[in-house]
Amino acid sequence: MLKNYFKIALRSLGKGKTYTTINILGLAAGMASFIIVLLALNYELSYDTWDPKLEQVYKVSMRFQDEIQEATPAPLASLLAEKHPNIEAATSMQGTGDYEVLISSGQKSIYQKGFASSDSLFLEVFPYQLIHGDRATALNVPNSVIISEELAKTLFGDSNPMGETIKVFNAVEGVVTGVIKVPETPSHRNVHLVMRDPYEQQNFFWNNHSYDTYIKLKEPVAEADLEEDLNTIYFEERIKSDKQQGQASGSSNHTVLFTDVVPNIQNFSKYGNSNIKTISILFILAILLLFTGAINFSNLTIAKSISRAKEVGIRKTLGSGRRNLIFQFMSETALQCSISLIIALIIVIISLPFINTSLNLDLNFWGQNSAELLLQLGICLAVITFLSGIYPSLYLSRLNPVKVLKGDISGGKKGLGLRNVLLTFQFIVTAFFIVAIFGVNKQLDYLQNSDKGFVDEQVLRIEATQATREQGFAQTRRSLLSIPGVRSVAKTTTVPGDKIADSSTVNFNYKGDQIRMGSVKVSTDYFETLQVPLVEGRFFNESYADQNTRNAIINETAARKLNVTNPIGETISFGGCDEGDVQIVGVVKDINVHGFEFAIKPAVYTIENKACMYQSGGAILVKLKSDQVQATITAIGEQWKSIEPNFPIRYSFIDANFQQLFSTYYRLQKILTFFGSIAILISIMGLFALTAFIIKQRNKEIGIRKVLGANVKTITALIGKDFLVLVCIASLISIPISAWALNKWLNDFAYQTSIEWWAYAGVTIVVILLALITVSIQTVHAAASKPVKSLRTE
Amino acid sequence: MIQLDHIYKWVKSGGRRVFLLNDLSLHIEKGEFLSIMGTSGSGKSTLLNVVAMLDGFDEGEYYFEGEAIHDLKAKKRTSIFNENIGFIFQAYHLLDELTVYENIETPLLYKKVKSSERKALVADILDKFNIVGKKDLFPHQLSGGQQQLVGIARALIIKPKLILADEPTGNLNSTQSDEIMKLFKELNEEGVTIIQATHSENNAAYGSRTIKLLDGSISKN
Repeated sequence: MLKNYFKIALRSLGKGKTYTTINILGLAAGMASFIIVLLALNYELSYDTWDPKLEQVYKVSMRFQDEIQEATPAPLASLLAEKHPNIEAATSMQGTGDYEVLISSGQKSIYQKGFASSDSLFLEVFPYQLIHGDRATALNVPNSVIISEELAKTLFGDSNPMGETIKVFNAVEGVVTGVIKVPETPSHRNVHLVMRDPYEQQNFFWNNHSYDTYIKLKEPVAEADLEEDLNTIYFEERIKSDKQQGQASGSSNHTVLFTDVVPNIQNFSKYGNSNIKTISILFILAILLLFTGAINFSNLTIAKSISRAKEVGIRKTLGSGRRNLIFQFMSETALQCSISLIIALIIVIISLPFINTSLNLDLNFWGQNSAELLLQLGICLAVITFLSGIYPSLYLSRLNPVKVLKGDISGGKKGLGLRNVLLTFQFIVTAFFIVAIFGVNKQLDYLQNSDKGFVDEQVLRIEATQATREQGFAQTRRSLLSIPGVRSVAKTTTVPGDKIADSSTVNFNYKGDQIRMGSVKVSTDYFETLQVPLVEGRFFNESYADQNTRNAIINETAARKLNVTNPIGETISFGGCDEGDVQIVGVVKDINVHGFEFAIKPAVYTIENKACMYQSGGAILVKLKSDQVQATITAIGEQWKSIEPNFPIRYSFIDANFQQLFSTYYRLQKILTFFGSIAILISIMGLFALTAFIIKQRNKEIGIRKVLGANVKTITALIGKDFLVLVCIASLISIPISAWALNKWLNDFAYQTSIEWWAYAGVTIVVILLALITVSIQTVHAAASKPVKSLRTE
Repeated sequence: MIQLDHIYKWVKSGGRRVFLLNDLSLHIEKGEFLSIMGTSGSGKSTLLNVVAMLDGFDEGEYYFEGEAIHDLKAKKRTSIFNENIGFIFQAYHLLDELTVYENIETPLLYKKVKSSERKALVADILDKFNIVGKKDLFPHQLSGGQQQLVGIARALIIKPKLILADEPTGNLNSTQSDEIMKLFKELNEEGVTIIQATHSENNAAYGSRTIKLLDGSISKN
């Protein structure tokens, strides 16, 4: 029986090759996009699932009203472990995350991400597998170090790393006491080197809020109960005793602890940003694409049903029941969908490397959870088969054999309503993508061409140690300026274009009020280096007051915030500081430091830390002369060897850094363009095939009309009219939806492009034109053919 | 074998009933070869469809081998049809995508006959109808007479007790037509009950009994 169905399915596929190809390819394109997003989603959801025990490992963070503090006091971990009976172990650790730390062993020096220092209990909490070393004792010795398999390979090749000495940051030495296996899934905290914290003792006090606290439970419990228990302990042990000492502010408002189970941190953390939102949206879009592919299927099958109707009639008189027929048509659909899936998989496997490089992803089809993936694909295939096959099957199997065999089949009129709805839905999706692509492009264009307020070209950002930046700065500057290609040298604590640039604000006193503004420490030539225009007053000079935090320059936003007509000469002071006032000597133009998602913050620029606040960090900026950039960089590299002999130079260009800041949006742009093209392709192909069918069906009518004197134009209008009405309706429905979505997306930006009504009108026209051209190609052909031909076939 | 009592079937047209079958009563014995004659629109095909249970009727009673068809559910009716009746069409109605062999095999598939048995049955009938050499051809590669032979072979493959033929030779020339009729005669002599609808007196003469229909009623028995 199956063999018979299979045969007839293959033969009827072979019969309408064009339609079959359109059906299968359209669906394959939709499926391929869906699979890629599915891979991305799986990747995201696989975060920190490398060991089932992680389900019982929690990160403990603090919250004070709306302020989230992931860094917790050093003794918190040991307090909780001591007081809570269900905690097996707790560790406090510090990590540098994506910051690259200099690690050396013998002659070899590399910059490595994933550095962490911790107490001895790190391995008790995190279930890393050890290749070498003993879990219980590995971190017991002071200055012991465990490293990842990967790092061991880079540093020591194939030789045994155990007992080798590693130097971190050219300052602290450690001995390798363990090698951990790199987990199979990504982690919110990739660890390549864990060092027993050398300053553990001296840093162990409650006011030291700079540790991450992780706990591991003996028995799983409800998270709410856990949080309540922890808070009880924290309140009893800390808040109450603080109050007795009279240190606590308000009575009911106090800091509370909250937990995130480790597998949730990446995507479902209680108070953090996450990728999952974007990916979920993409997933929904991919499902829409899949549906548009399935719709082609349904539509073409309904259209084709006229030719299958006779078969249904005959089969019924030969003894086929309805169920047999439904099964037959469903298995036919399943066959086509499976072919689509296979093509989609081939597309995915071939294109994945390109997608990974162009989108900067790390997706892998043959990953470890391929069984799960196969299951997902199986479900996807089943759902799509069901969706694309169920209506045609029900419709066809219901046909009355007597009527059908008499030739009385009302041209698929019954399927017309549904077909129109499906076609409209397809074009709603298409129009949505076109609007989205247009809007995202416009916003990115706007970002590209917006004035950052300074010149970011040929500005080198050099990473430097604190010593070089602070005490050694004058010397470093002189030494760099001696290179002919260097125009100026400056430093700043808030480097424009940095991924993690200081965006905090502090209180300033001004005329008895407290005003929150950002404080930026710079050097004299900062504004010159970035070519920031002066609005009022003057730039910094070498005067004593300028060089010792007595004078400040503010930006325009700060000037507005101070709300004074002429800010020059006004005095402000750092909040809670009695070391003296700061006088405003200049106002500079606003410069965009954090990218365009955020509004420019009011900024107070000062030199040196001579008024209470101590700020360090950031980097050295070097403005190059425009000729011989490469030679100059080489010269700076040479010079750097004498400035920081132990640290190889690390530099980047500020304009490139800004591009990096936008990279997520470029990625979105690429994905949208890709999805949009596929959506357009699928719907156009569907419309094309559908028109072909209609023309075939109405061939005789067209012939008769031509004999009666109709011309090409009226016939094109006759066929195209119905479709165009649907496409117009689709555009009208789509535009409010896409406008809403676009606005929602734009709201993430402090600086937004405006999208005028004519843009939407333009999109509508584009969609209608697309449809018109698609329909016309065939109608014109049909209308131009000789009527005798079509009439003779009867 | 078949007992029709006061069958009425109508369609509504402009609020009025147009009768397709009008108070039609008919008794058919096992082993009969009945020819139904009448002009176009006299109700021949409708009658055959009703007998075949492919179409319903609005009033009256229909007994097939004592079973009250008018009281049965659609599913049960289908199964009685599948077990007992072979249907032959004027326009042959072969499945275009299947070969001669596969066309003949299809009813067996619906009856869930085993593969080996299927092969034997189909080979038998191909042999009997002398179309072994054509078994791998598709319908459009055959002449009309050959197509109708395949149609008949397909109807006979389930060994029906009753064959219903709706103008089986309507699309054939007289030589082909006579061959088909002779075949019917042979089948009838082997014990199969046959009801055919036909325009041709000549064909009707092959039958053991002839009735004439006019406006949905029997005018001559």
